[in-house]
Amino acid sequence: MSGKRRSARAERGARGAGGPAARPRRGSRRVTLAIAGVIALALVALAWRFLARRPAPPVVSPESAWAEYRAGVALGERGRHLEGLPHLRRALESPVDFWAFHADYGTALFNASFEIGSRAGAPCAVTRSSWERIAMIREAMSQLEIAAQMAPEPRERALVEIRRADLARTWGLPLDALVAYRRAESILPGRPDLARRTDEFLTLLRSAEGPGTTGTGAPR
Amino acid sequence: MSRPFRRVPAVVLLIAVLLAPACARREPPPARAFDPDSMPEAYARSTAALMWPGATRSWQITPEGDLYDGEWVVRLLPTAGPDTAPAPRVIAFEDRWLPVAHWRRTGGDIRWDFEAAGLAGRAPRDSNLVVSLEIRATNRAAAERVARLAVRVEPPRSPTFVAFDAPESIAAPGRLATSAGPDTAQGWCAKPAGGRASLVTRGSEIVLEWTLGPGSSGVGRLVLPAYALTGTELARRARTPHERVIADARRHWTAEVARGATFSLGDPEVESALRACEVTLLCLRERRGTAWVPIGNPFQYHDVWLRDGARAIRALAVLGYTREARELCAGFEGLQWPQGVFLSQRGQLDGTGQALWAFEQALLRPARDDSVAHFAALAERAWRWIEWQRDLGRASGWEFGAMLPYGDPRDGELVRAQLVGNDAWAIAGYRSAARLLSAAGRAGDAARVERTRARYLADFLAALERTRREDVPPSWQGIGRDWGNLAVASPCGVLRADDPHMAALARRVWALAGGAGLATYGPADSAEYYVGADLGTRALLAGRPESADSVLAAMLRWRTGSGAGAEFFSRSSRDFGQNLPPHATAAAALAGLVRDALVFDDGDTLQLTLGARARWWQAGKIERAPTRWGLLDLEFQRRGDRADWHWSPVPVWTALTLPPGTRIAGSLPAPLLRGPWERVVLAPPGTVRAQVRLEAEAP
Repeated sequence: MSGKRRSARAERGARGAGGPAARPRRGSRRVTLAIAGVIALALVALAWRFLARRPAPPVVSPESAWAEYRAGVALGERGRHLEGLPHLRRALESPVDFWAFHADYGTALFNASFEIGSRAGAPCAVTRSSWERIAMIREAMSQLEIAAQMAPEPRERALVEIRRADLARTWGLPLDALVAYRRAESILPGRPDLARRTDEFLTLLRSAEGPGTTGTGAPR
Repeated sequence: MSRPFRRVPAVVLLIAVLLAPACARREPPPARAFDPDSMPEAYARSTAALMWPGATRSWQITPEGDLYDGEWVVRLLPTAGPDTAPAPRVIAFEDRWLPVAHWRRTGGDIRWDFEAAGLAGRAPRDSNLVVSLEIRATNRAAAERVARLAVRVEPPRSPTFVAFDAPESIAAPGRLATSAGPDTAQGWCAKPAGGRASLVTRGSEIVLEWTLGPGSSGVGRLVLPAYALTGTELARRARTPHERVIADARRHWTAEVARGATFSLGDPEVESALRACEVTLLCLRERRGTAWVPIGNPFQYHDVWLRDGARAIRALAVLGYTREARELCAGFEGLQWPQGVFLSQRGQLDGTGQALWAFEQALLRPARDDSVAHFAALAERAWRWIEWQRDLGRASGWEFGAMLPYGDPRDGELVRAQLVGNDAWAIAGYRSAARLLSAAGRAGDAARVERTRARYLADFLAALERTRREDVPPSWQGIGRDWGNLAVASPCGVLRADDPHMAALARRVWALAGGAGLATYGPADSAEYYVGADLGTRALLAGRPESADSVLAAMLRWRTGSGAGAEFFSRSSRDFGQNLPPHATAAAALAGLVRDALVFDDGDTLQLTLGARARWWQAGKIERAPTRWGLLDLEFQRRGDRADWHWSPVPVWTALTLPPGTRIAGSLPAPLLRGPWERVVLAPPGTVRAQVRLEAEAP
């Protein structure tokens, strides 16, 4: 279809030229096309550079970023993690790049992956399926990684490690959790609460067997 | 040059004429000739699912004969005078596979016949499944009778499942539109036809009424979208006549099953069961952006599990739906964690091995896919994570430290322990990773993975020895229900099929059920549909086809009138409770077992007719079956004291299993050789035909 259109247009062009058109030399035509192509590419590159350089308008001011952050955390404290996510995301869109924004957004994603809501009066996960839950966890881990790199004080870095450990432990990755607990311990050596936490978990790991969690008693 | 080109249309015409009778045979019977109550129904309550690939909701035809989409119940109350028609006995698909549903209710002198099918969405990405339902009331009396059908759209009461996108609460009843308009409605009700008919709206209820002479019928029609539409849109959809919707559904699904591998076995029950599995597996897929993901079930298991999805991918791959299987692999990519592990549900550590196995099953059949290098890289990351886990565990010095750590899967084994199945699947994942890496041209990396697999295998055997068990326990601690341990020989390939531990496990599992068949889950009365299928394939590989056939027979028996298997049910009451069929893994298991009984290609030898039933030997034929060595055509036949095979050449040895109850008579013609068992013949690479003289097996 498009090929036919092109050839029809070419025919019209030839007729419009009036009189016998001189056969263009193949070499010079190629050169012209190449130059035109290079110019077009350069224009595109310039436009791209110009657009990319333009600073994105700040979506959230620093003041409202803190307000959004507090609102997100407050919703999380009331167990409404999913509802808190947009607030925390907006805080992250602000120029304020604070480690706790990342840490609490990551934690909220993790908590939301387990949040139970209600549909048609029946208790149901607020997320559609495991595919969305794992997408949230992947993002949570990425945010916690950023927070770990940004956190200025050992106490804060240890806190991020504990959150990573809790995430891994809750999702059933005990060795990943153990390594993160130990990292927290090594960041803040001599803290009895951290050592106790690791020891308790080690005991659980050693005595692996136990009754499983059956939830509602359903096989899944 | 031009001559052959000119001849092509004539050749095509000739082929079309020759194929026409074969195609005509595939046409399903006309709807009116179909009696749903003639269809077998294994369960105490009949139900069916109207589904469509990519649709985000499905319609359940409930045991009461109503329709439910996870948000609204469309209640159908057929009456004749004082008699309300009771629930249908069987809700059946045509030929027990083609998703045109039929059910019948009889009350007083009126017989009510229901026929329903889904319509494809308007656009390729339309996820709103719209069902066309025709209701036919027939007066069986010798005198005039009044037939009345009340239709209500109600919120569900104590629902078995709720749609993922249903609102928090549904208080008010819904409505059916009868004319075009901008207001939304849950369905469309057409003017009734036949007899003296009327349509009356009483609040939220619509009543269709027919005064019918002896033997005459009245017809009503509903159009039901899974999501409410405007009256105008519903009117537009209703302009497509019901007969055309049904004809389109038949045409669509007949073409869909024809494009996969074909199994002509002279066994209508098995062939129809395979088609039902194909429909179920194709439908239980959803989109996430550009990706596709497998779901466990359209109702209560409307979620993504690696353990079920992997089985679905494998089944689609071996049934010839290569594109769909590979699309689902791409969907699995979203379930890989940054550290490499694949995890879809809390504590289900078998997911990593299963994902890698699924990639290999789909990407290397019938030929290496272009994306294999990408998936090999994903597999390599997963393998590194497992190796890291094993290194940490070994360093702990714990008794089973070299095995994966404890899991609490809230499923399957139902315990918190180090699960044998997690390690078995991980080892299977290593084999798959090595195959993927090798296919991606990374022979060195493949060899490295293979070396670690050998070490893992040795650790597994040592751990099994330490349990002092004759069989294979569910967990290294010995506790739990049989689940992942049933897969240790097949498909995981960790122990040989004829390993005494596996034989003891099969004996223990089947003893609970009173013989080879479905496995028992928990209480002795509770049957599990699919988890024992792996023991069936193991039996095939161990030269025990009769045990595998018992498993297949049980799976064929325990199906609904629409050809679906329920995950769990009570043997005594035949009730599946709230665990509604269809289940994706049930479909995958049945299809996989039939395929393995005919073509098995997971090892270094192509194995044919491992468990072919005597009936299939009359003139068995398989076309376009994907294998690791390309697409395979196979014909096999027993004529008196001779067995014949004719198959596509492969670059590996082929093991041919003789028909049931026979053995080799005399010597074998060159180049055939005797196999490891009395009933197996080996053919060298490139062989395309074999003929063996038979004699009856010694009793």
